[in-house]
Amino acid sequence: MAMSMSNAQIVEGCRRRDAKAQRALYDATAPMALGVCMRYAANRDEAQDLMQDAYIKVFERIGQLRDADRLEAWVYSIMVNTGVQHCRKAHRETVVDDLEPVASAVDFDPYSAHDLVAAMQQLSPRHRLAFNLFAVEGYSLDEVAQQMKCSNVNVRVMLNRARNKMREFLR
Amino acid sequence: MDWKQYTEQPDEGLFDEIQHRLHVRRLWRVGGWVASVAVLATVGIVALGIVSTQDSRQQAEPTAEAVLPAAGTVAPDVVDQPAVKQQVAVVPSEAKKVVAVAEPVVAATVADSVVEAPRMLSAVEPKQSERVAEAVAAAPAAVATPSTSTVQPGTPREPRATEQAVAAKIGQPAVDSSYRFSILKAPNVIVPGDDADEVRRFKVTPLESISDFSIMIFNRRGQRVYSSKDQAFAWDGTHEGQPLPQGAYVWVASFRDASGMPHTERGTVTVLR
Repeated sequence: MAMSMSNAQIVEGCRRRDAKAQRALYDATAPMALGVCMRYAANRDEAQDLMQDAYIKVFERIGQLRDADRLEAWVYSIMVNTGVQHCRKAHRETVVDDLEPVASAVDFDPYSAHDLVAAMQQLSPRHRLAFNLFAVEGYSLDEVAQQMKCSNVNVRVMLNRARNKMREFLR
Repeated sequence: MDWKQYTEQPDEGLFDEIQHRLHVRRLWRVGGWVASVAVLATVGIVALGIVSTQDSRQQAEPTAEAVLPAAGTVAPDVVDQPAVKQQVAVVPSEAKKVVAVAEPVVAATVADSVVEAPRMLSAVEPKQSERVAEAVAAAPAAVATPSTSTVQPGTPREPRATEQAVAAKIGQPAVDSSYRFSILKAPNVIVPGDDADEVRRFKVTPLESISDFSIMIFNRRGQRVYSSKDQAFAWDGTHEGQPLPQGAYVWVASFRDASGMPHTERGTVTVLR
């Protein structure tokens, strides 16, 4: 998508709190941002709330961005972090030990992203978080366990639960 | 699956909401600074008011004068009482000492709806203001006790709904009028050694004609040191002939106003020697 302002100009303008630059940043990144938030939220309204909170952070912390070329990646990471924090706040569930093979994203190939996201939104926040971190963001089991402050086994169980629930929904 | 390609179109007006919230957050940040300056200015002015009757401690003046020009730039619609309490935490470290003085004063004015703000701010030190608050809390109990009390509030009128709500909140009888404008004018300070009679002795001046007057004065430990039922009384800072130590004392007066409605008013008076 061609932008009338370059990334560097946008970042510089946002630093000065210029409204036009802020609008340009938003227009360029919002569809992708909402896509991320839709994965971490339970529905579209919650996703837009998350996106609002995340964009506040984007505009208030724009000074921390050193390299203007990394603008999209930086906005993406803020969206993910906001989503992770949101899912973390959900209550911890009791996890039963269950040693089935780990779910992988390959299972879901026939489905479109829209369908998958709709299925993800049916999950509980913690399962949704585990699935996002492992199957979408590409973290390893250990890294997911570290992020979610639980054991490897817990993560595997959550992923299986998530996969089963999503399969049921998509049938 | 390339998840970066997955996009959703946000609703119209979301960006405007984001801009609005950014704006409001900035206002709170700026307002916090302005409110802190206003609090410092108030403390400075009050310190001036207490100190101006004494010969020593002239150094309070330059501090207050330095702060006053800043107070002139306060935007009144941004400064907000609840914001002061929240934003006090944002003040930088060099101002924290003064804020520590301001906080009990502000907490007393904002949270305690029983005591009138201008009178509470006359406390000289933060320790004294806390003790005065205890004395004030003790004072209604002393007033209510039938055995030691010489006060007769009379038959209370039917309290209105707002008064009942306030009474429930502050735990005071509904006829307490200290959240409205005061009818009694009283000095903050008396200096028993002074030449001028108005400075030497504590008297109250009612702003309208009153009846059924009764006043009691308490020390910081809640002990009654003086009482009178005569509206034209004058207290010289003694208890049974003995001069009382320098410090803050609390007075509580009850009376009926021109229309016969009972009132209770309270304040502090500092005795300086």
